[in-house]
Amino acid sequence: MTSYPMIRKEFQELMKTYKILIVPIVFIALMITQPITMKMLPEILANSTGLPKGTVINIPTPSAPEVLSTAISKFSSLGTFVLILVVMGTIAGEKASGVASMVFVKPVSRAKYYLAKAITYYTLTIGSMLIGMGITAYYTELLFGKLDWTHVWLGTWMYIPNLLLVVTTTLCASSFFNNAVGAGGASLVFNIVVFTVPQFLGKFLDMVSPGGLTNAAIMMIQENSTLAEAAITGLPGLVGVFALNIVFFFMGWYFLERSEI
Amino acid sequence: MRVIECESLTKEYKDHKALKDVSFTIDGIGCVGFLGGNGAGKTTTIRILTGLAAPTAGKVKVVGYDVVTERNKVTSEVGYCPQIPAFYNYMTATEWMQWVGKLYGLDKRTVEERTDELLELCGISEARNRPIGGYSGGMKQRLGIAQALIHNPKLLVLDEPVSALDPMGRHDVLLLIEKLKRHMTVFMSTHILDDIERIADHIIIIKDGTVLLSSSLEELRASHVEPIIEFKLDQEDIDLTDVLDGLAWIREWTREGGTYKVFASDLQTAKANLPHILLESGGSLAYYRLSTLSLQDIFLKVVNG
Repeated sequence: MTSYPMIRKEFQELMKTYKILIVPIVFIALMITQPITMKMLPEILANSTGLPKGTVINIPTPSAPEVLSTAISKFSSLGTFVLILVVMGTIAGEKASGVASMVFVKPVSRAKYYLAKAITYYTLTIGSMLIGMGITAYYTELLFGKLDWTHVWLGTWMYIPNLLLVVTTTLCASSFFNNAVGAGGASLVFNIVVFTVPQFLGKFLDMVSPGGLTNAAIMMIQENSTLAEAAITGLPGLVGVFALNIVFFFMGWYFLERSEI
Repeated sequence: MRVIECESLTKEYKDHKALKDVSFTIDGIGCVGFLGGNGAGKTTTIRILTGLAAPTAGKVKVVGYDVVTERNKVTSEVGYCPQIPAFYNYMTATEWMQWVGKLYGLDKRTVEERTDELLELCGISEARNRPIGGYSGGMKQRLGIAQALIHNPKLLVLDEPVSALDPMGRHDVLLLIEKLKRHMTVFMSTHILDDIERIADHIIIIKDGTVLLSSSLEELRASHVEPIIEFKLDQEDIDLTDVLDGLAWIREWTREGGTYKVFASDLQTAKANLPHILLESGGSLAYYRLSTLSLQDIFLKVVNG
């Protein structure tokens, strides 16, 4: 009975706080700078001072898939940071301000409240990523030549669970902490660790980690392998990241159920 | 109908016990004044009654439902306004009311009618289309009460409902509670004893997490009928300590500012002799009257043991 008004309210909030515009714009800005920079790089170098006279720098023009794949890898860290900033206060902030207590004295279960937040931010993240990637890929095609859009979209969808993991872990931290800064800090530390450390812990952990999934997504976008090969490479990462998403989703729910509002 | 039933309610936090074996029952409609000093356990009790916190031990039933195992049924029958109500600041009062109405499963027409009626009743209909973020504390308090009533609850829980209001606002809200208590049970905590004395039918006094008293206001007054002689001298510098201490028919006396309160063990003797004694002490009476214990006197007497 109360799920629909909760979800509707969350989407209304996205619109009234302009997050529905800000997040896609930031995603576009973070990704689209890569093809522009790559295109302008020879001119930037040519106009830069400090190089000895007569210096000749030969930079081979990268292919469109190469440019797009670097856009994803460059986006990764800043995109994570932006998502954490957007999500960190959604539960913790409401607990701190007292709004959560106004909501929970009504016939709204904590599960529905949590689910509404998760659905909203998952939708925002997926939508923003698809828009950002679509526009960046289009622009890359204009500047660097043809792209295989099947590879682009499959690579994007392969990368999206990583972004959802950022949302899930931030929601989890937001359920645990009573202030947004604490939630954001905890989520940031966790995501830095989970995205960077597994590569040093052996091949298996690297493959099933978010970092492994990013590499598989990049491989898919680079078009160096067939769709099937790239999909098989990404499968362990997909399984690992989905498992982490599920674990942290339920952990956040548990924290919220147990917390005193 | 038994509205609230608390049985051996205990709430422990890591480092302290907020409630210790709290038991009380509230039957029928009317206004319940929940009194206690800061940190007495009022808000903790209210948080448990509204399902926001779980008791460590004990049983609590609200409108016949267990607050732990039947939380959703409890929340459907209870309206709650905290001391400092918080809202989504980007919403207008109308949007908030309509959203809350939907959470209670009310149909669109009922929500619209109740929204109009309650915003008018609580005196914020003129600001209904402005974002709540721009409201004053008093306006938020009024909206907090309005939204707590949208589903016509059987129990309305108000935590310090007039604390953020100016004198006019306080007067309006007390009038509103007087109207509401004819149709539902209003459970309100406050520090302002004059307000409670004016509108409450039942009093609960809590101190250090323990209920010291739970009684109807009538019974309370009847059990604390104690004649007091109140007087004030024009000459505030005259010290009556020796005079009053030397009178065998005076059991106890207090002085606040220039006003004396004398508790007589023999009222007739006191009435006959006290005015003469006061005049003999060299003072003239600014006022002199016979009164009974106020709720504040009873509260202080109960709390101070």
